[in-house]
Amino acid sequence: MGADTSAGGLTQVLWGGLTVGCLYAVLLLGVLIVFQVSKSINFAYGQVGMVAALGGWYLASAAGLPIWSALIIGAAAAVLVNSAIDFVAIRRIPEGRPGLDLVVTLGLFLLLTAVMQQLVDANSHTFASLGSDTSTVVGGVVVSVNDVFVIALTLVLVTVAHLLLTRTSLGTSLRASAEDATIASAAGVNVLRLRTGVWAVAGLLAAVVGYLVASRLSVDAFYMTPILVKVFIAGMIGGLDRFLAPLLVAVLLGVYEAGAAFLLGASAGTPAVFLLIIVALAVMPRRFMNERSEVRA
Amino acid sequence: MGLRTAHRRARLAAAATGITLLAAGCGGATTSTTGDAAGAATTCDPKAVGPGVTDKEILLGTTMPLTGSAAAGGLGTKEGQEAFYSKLNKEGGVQGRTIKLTVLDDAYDPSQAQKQMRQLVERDKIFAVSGGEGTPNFLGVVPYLKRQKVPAIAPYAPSDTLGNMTNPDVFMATVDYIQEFDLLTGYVLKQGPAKKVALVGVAGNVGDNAKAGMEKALAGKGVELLYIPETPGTTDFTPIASQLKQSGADWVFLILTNADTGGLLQAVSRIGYTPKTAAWAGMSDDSYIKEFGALSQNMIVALETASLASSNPKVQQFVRDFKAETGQEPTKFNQLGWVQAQLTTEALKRAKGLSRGCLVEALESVSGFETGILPPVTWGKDDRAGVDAVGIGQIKGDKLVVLEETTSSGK
Repeated sequence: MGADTSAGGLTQVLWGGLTVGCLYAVLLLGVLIVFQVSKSINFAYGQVGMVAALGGWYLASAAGLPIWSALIIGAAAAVLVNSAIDFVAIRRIPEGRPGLDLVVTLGLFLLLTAVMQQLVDANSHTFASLGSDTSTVVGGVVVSVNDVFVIALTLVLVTVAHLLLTRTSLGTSLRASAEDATIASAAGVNVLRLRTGVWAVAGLLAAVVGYLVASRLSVDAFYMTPILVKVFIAGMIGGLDRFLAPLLVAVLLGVYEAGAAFLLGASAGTPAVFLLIIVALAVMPRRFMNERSEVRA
Repeated sequence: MGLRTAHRRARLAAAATGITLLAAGCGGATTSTTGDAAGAATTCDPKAVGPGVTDKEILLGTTMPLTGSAAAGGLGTKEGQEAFYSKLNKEGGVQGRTIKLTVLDDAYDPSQAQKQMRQLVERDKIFAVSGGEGTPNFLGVVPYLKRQKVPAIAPYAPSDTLGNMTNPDVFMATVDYIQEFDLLTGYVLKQGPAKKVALVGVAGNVGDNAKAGMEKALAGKGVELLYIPETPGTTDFTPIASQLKQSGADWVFLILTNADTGGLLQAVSRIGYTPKTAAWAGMSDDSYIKEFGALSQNMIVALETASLASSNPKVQQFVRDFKAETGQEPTKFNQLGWVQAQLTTEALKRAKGLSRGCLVEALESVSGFETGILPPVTWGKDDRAGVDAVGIGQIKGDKLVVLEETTSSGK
């Protein structure tokens, strides 16, 4: 179904898409750092953000805690859960069992969902607005505080992560661990501590994205799953062993999806994303798809 | 290196595909059914005994979404049925037998519902299907129930596919979305002139039915209708909100999940658009009003069940009985579950024997049966609709105000 495609409406839609794309990018940042250090894909990663947001909602709404206290406790829970996923499950997967991390984290996805449904409930809830209800009009486009915060946060996080990885000794250690953990360990890098730190930071990123998505939509035990699907798609197209390229793809994916939904109809957004994968695999230069070291941090 | 990269990309593809399948499973899909009018188990042999019936017990079953994005409705409906049968069994049961109810989780997924229903019919050997909740998942089991000639009583699965002799084994007790949106739109038009209205509905049978109902009510009125189908799990509602704003619709009608209704209303508010809204009966549930009431002020909603605050003695009796059984206040979905069990029990009471043919005969004898919760229920030889009326309410503050008691579409 088509739409009235006047410039004002399309700009509003693209702005919304840019904001959502930035949320994809921040979540993908968490996926990237984990993959680059531990070579694992965490299916339950979106649910880590859900634990923070649904738990935070419960603490604020049902238990009566001040919202900021609830958000801090929720974020701490996300850090703990994500670290525990690595410590309890991923590290114990024996070498030479490719794909087992997918199965294990898929199980954890279901476990976290069931636990939160039991502990909280199966309903959808409104979350703290976090600025999404305060807005101004800029050039005919309604811009909320939440939108600006999301975009600024993305720029800051990506810049900090990039500088950290390329300009600091910590970044050198991380890259060395990612390249070959055994050699890095022999060179004095505490690989296990680094890995634990990376999973913890990824947990925090999941919590932040979980909060921001919940503030724009609502929160329940499943609301992060469609977000994680798009994040993996961006990672697949951009390459999980690169840094800036997949993050850029994530942002553009949000814009592309919003544009497709606006121009072709609301139900066209998701099919358009999957069509993009096929097109990307078919037309992207083989060199780009195969080259590991290019564009890396 | 190339092989390692290819291997990794294959794993990524598998990861993305797996999550997508999982999401699809949680979100559900739309299935439609067709068929001829033959097939209901209509011959009553009073001496015959159907599957799942012993001297002491009658085994009933159904599937509902007990996990996943639609679990709230399923869990509430299950609780309502269980409370009714618990009370019934304490009072001695029906036909000298207690009721054993088995409810399996279909996660709102038609394929999962089919698998679970097969298990209920073939392994557990249930006598009949008592209620159910969710349209796409229930539509997924309808062809199987038709083949097996298993009666299904009062599932909450509004669809034009059901409630008629295309599927004679399914006895409905709620209007379909065509009727619901016909009546809802008719009410809205009576409130004042409108040049353009919009509908945002779940893509597939649900949204199409709502659209058909609105088109019926708008026929000849010169009011333009914009229909936007939506797929559950939308991550950005700005495109839909912008389309609505640009259309300048006087009214926006909604038939979406609670979460997506809340997400869309947030996006509409974010871009500074404030249309009048009207929505399907799901928005009359306390769980919706409690969470999204602030976003839904003055929303007009269809009412499929009586307000829990109604002075109707039967409604008040239900509230007391439910609280006595569960220790908690009932919700709309508890009401639905309760009335599903009540109608199933009424048919069992009327049955001349405990065969499926006798159960169908008993169901066809139900006429103007008052539950207090639903409009009077009537089925017949060629009538599977049950009811043809909805009420109208409005969300005011954190309350639902009843504007009109049930009104018949006169079909």
